[in-house]
Amino acid sequence: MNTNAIDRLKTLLESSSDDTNDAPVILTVHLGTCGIAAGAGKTLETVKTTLASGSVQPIELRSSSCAGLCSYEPMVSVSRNGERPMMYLDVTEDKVNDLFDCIRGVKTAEECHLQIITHDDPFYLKQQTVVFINRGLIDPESLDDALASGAYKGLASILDNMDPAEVITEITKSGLRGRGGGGFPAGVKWSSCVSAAERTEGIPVIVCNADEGDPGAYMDRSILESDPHSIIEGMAIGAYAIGAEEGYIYIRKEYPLAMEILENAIRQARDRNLLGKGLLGTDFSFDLVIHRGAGAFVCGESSALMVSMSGMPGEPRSKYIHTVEYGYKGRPTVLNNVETLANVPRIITRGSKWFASMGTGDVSENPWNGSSGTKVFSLVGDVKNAGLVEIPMGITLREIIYDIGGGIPGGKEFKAVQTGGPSGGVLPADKLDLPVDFDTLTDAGSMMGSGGMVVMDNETCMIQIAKYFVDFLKDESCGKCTPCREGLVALGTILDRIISGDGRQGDIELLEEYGQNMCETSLCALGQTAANPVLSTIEYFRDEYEEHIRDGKCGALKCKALIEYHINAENCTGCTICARNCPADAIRGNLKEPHVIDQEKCIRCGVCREVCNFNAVEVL
Amino acid sequence: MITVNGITLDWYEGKTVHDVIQEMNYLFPLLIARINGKLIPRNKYDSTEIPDEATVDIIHLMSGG
Amino acid sequence: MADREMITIEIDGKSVSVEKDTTILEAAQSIDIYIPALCSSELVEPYAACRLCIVEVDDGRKTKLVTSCNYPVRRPIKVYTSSKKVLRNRKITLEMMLSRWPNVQVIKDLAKNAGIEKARYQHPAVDLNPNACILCGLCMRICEQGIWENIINFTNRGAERAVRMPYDSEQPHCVGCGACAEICPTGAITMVDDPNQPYDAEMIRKAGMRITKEMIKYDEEQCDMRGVGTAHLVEIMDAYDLLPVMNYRYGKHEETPKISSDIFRKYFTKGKPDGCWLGCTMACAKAIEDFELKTGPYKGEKVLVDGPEYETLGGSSNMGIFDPYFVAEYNFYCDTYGLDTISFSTGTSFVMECYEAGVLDKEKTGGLEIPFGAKDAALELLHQIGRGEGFGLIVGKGIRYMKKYFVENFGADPDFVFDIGMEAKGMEYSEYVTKESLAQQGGYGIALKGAQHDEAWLIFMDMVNKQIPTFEDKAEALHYFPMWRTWFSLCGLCKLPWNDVEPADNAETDEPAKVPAHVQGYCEFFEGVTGKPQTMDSLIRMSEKVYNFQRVFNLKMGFGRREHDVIPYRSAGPVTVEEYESRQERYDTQLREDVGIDPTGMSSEEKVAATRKFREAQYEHLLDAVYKRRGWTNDGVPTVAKLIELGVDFPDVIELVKKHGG
Repeated sequence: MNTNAIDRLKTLLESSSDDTNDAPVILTVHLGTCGIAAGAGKTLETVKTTLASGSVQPIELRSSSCAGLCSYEPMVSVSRNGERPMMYLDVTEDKVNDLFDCIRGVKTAEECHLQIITHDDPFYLKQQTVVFINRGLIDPESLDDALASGAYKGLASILDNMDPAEVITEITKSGLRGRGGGGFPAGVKWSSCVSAAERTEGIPVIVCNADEGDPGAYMDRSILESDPHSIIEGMAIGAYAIGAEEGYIYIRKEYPLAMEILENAIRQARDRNLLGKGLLGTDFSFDLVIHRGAGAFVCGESSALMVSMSGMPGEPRSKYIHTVEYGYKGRPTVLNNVETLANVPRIITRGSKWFASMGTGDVSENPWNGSSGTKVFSLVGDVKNAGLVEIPMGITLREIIYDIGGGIPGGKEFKAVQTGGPSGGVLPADKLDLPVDFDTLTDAGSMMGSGGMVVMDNETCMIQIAKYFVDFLKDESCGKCTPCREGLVALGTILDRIISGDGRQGDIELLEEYGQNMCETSLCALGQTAANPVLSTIEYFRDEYEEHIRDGKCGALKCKALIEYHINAENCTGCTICARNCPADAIRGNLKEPHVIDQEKCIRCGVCREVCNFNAVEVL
Repeated sequence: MITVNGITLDWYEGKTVHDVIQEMNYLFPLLIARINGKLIPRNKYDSTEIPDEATVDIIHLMSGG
Repeated sequence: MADREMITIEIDGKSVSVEKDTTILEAAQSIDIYIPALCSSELVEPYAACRLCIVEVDDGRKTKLVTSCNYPVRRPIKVYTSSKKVLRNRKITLEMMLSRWPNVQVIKDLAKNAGIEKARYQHPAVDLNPNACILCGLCMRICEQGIWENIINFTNRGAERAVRMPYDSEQPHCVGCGACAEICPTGAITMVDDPNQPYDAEMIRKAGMRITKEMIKYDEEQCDMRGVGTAHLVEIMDAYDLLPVMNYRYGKHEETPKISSDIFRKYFTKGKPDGCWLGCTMACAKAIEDFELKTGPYKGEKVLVDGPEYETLGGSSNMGIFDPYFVAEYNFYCDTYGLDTISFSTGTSFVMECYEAGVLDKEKTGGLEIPFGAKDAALELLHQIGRGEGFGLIVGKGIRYMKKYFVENFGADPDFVFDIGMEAKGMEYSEYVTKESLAQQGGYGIALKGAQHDEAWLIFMDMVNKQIPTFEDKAEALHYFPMWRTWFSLCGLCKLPWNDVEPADNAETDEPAKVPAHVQGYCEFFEGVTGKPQTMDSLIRMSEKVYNFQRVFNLKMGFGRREHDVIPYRSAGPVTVEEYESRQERYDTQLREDVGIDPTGMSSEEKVAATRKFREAQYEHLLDAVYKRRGWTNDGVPTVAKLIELGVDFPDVIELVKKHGG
C-alpha cells in the first residue's frame, strides 16, 4: 500500500481557512432542532443585533449543535481565553441583554436569574463522550472545524495502513454492537457481507439507517446535527472494509435540519476529495446518496427500509435470507445505524482495545461476550434533566435517572422507566440497579433498543402506557402480517375495555396469549416486539391490571371511566373558579358556598382540580 | 450402441437422457424424450439411464414466430 | 441439472430429499403433508403474510417457528407441522382472522378445523361480508409478478390496509385479464360484465387463465419468452445449423454468441409488459431503452429500440454482421423508415453476395463497398432506402426486382442470381436455413403470401425428429399446420401462446406438436365469444375455406399456380462448391445413402450437380403430394369439387378455377 492519504489529509487541514480570531470571549449558541424549537434562533438573532451595535466587542460568535441538556434550552456557551465553557441555560431572546451583562461582569448570573452549568455538573460528569466528543463544540456546517477536531484521520490511516480484512478485524475486536436496537456485532455483519458478496458475486452497498422513529428518541438526529462528518467517515471506512463504492443514508423526512447539515457535509466532503473518485489520492472510490424516508415507522426495519429505498411501499420481508446477502435491490448490503457508524472512526483512531475497555464483558475474543463502548440515550419523561446523555455501557439505570437526570421532579416518586421504544418494555423501581447493556435489559423483559428512555412517575397508569404504545404501533404497523395487524387490534380492544371499566376476568391471560402469539409468529422484528409494552407492564404491574379489572379502580387516577371528581365542601370557598373553567358546564354552586360536580355531565378532564387554589377538588 | 432420432451413438453404462441431450447439443428447451417409446418426464432426464440397444426419441416441439 | 444440490430433511418423521432452496411448504406438498397456507400460491412469490403456514424447525442447534411458504431448505432439518406450539399459534392467528371476517368461508373452515367457532373479542371493525378481502395479497402479486402490471396494490397500513386501484379510480391499463379475480380465495374481486357482450365471458377467462398460469409457472424454464422474447432462438438455431449466415450459405457461425440472447438480456428493459397487447402474459416483445444512435438523421439521440426479435438478429448474421449495436441501430431505422427488418436484411445479404461474386462493384453501387460484414455500408444503404436515393432506390424494391435489374443492367448471370436471390412470390425469405428440411422448403415455397414460415415451421419435426419421413407425412403436416396457423389470422390472434409455452402434461398427449390442450383452449375461446361449440377439426375447416379462397385469389392475381411455388435453389441445397465443401461429410453421406451415388472420385462440381438434381426432384414430388392432400390439381389449383365441399363455390370463383383446369 503505497498511498499517502495521511499526507493528503494533512495538506487539507493546513489549507483550511484560519478563521479563529483572537477574541478573548467565544460565545456559542446551540442550534440543534431542540434548541431552535425552544427559541435559540431568535436568541441568535438578538445576540447578533446586540453585537452589531458595537457595545460588547470583542466577542467571537459561533453556532453549534445541541449541548445535551435539552430541557433547559435555548443554551448559550461562553468560553473565555480558551477555558472550558460555562453554559447559560434557558437563554430566551428576552434574556440576551442579561447574558451580556453577565459576560461584561456588570451583573452576576444570579442577579439576572440566569442558571449556569459547566462540564463539572453531575449531568456531564457521569457521561462519557465518544460519539458526542464534538457536540456543542464544533460548527457542524464547517468541514474545517471537523478536520481540526480530527475528522477523516481514521479513514486516511486505514487507506494507508490497513487492508479491508484488517479493518473488519479491528471493528470486531472492539466489540462494537449495533446501536439501532439489534445489538448485532458490526464487524461480524461486515464480514458476513464480504463472504455473501463473494458467494453471490454481488457488489456490496453500505446503508446508514437514520430513520429514527421511536417516540421520544432523537439520538441519531442529534449525532447527525452535531457531527455529520463522523457518519460520512464511518461509512467510508465501512465501505472500504466490505468493498463497496456506493453508500446510502436513509433519513426520515421529519429531520429537515439534520438533512440540510448532512447534505452540506456531503457536498464539502466531495469538494475536498473525501468522497467521490479516488479518495485522498488512493484508488478507493466511495460516494453517498441521501434517501428521504416518508415517515413510516416500519421503514426503520432493515428489509422494509431497503424495499422503500427501491421505490416500493416499505414492507418487511422474511429474513431467512439475510440482508447482508440479499438487501438493497438484491445486493449484499450492510445496514448500520447512525450511532454505530459514528463510533467507527473513533475506534479506528484510538484502537479497538481502548473501545473494548469501556463497558461490560470481555469482548476481545467474542463481540457477543459483552457490551463495549458507550451508548447514547435520550432521557425524557418525568425527569429533571431531560436531554441526550452518552454513558459508558454498564452503569445502572439509577445512575442515569438520578445522577445524570437529577431524579423525578415535583416531589413525586419514580414508578417505571420505559426503554427500547415501542419494541421495548417497562421496568419497575426494583430494576433500577440493573446495569445498562444489551443483554441485561433484554433478560429483564425490556431492551436497550436504539436509546429511548422514558421515565415515569407515580402518577402514571401503566395500562394507559401500554395502550399508548399499542395505539402508536397500530397506526404504524404496515399491516402485512396477521399477528401484528390483527393482534394490535385485539390488544387495543381488550386494553380499551379494561380502561373503560369493562375488563373481564381472564383478560390479562388473553392479552398474554395474543401477545405471545405476536412475539412468536409476526413477520418482522417490529411485530415480534409489538406486544412488549403490554407484556412487560403485565409482568411488573400485574396488580395494577387486576385492580382495574377486579375493583374498577385506577391507582394513578388516570383512567377517566374509573374516577370521579368531587368537591370537598370543607375546603371549598365558593370562589367559582372551577365552575367558570369547567368545559362541560358540570359544576354548580352559589358564590361563597361549596360547589357540586354533576357526575352525569362531568367529562373528567381535571381542569377544576388544576385551577382550584384550595385543594378542594378530589379524585376518587 | 443406441439410436437417437435415427442417429447411432455410443452406449456406456449409466448414460442418461441428460447426457444424450448434451452430446447431441440439443439446446432447444421444448423437448419430449422417449426411451423405446416410453415417455420420460423432464425432471427425470438426469436420473434416467438408457439401456444398451435402446431407441431414443428426443422430440423437438416448435416455437417462435 | 445434475449439479443441483439435494438436501434430505425430515417432515413429521417422514424423510424427503429436495433441491437446495426448496421451501418447506413445497417439500411437504411433495410428500402429501398438508399445511394450511392462505396467502401462498405456486403462481406468485411467497409472501409470508397470513402466518398460517408456520411450522417448527429443528436445525440441530435450536428449534424455531418459521413460515414454511418461504423458508428455504439449506441444511438437513427436522420439521414439525403440527407441534403444540404450531397448533396453538395457528389457532390464535385464525381466531384473529375470524374476529374480523366471521363469514368468510375459507377462514370459517380453517378456524373450525383448528377448533374455534367464535373469537374471544369483538373486532371494532368487524366485516360481515362473506366475500370480504382478507388481505392475502395474492391479487396484487399476480398482477405485478404474473401480468407485470401494477393495477392493484395495498393502500394504507395497519388495520386500514386495503387493496385498491390508485386513487380509487378505474385504471385504463387494466385489461380485465381476470387473474386477480381468479386467484382471490374469497371472491372479493368480481369481474364487471364485458361491454363486448361475449356469449360466455367466464369460458373465455378460464381459457385465458390457463395460459397465464402456464406462462407464470413454466416460461422461465421453457422458452423464457418473458425474459428475452424470441431472441432465445438465435443460439438454438446456431446449434442446429439453421441460423442463416451470409445469405443462407451456412447455418452457424463462431461469432453467434456476440448477438445471442444472453447479450440482449442485459440491454432489454426488464419486468415491464410489452406493448403488443396489454395484459399479454407472454410479453415477448422486448425493448432497449436509451440507445444512442451512431448514424442517420437521429445520430447522437437516445432512442427506444423496439426489439430486436429473432428475425432481426438472424437477418444480421445473414449479412455476416455480429455486432449487437449494429442490430439495435438497423432495427431502429427499419422501424423508423417503415421497412421490414427481414426484407431489408435478406435483400442486403443478396446485395453482399452479389458484391463478393463480382456482380456488383463500387461503381454499380454508387460508391458503396458492401461485402458480407460491412456494417457501415449496410447502414448507409438502409438510409439510402429510407430516403429513396441512389443504390438504395434499387435495393428498396426488393430481391425480385434486383435480380431482373442486375441481369438487364449489370450483365449478371441469371442462373446465379436466381439461385441465390432468396425470395418466393416476390417476398424475401425469413431467417431460417431450410436446406435440410424438405418439408420446410415447401413451407416457404407454397405459402400463399410468399416465403414466410408463418404458415408452417416444420424443420425440427422433419430434420431432427424425423417424424414425417414420407412425402405423404410431409404433405399432411403441410396441410394441418398452415390451416391451423391461418385460423389465428382469421381471429386476429397471436400464434405464440399456442406453442411457445406448453402445459406440463403436453408430452403425454397423442400429438404433442399440436399442443392439444391449447387447441382445446382456442375452441373454448371461440365458443365463449360466439356461442358456437368447436372442435379441432371444425377450426381447421374454418381455415380451409379461407385458405382455398385465398389461393383462388392468388390465381386471379397471377400467383396461384405450380410455377409460382418455385423456390430459389439456395433454400434447397448448396449452390456453390464452397457451400458444398463446408458440409461435405453430410452431403457425401446423403449422396451415398439417399441418392444412391458413390461420391468417391467425383469432383465437387459434379457432386453439387448430383445433389441438386436429386433435391430439385424431391421438391417437385413434395408439391405433388401437397397438392393432392389439399384437393388441388397437379398445377396447384383448387378443384371445383373441393370448393363445393368447402362451400366457397361462388360463380366467379368456379369460373376462374375452371379456366385453370381446376
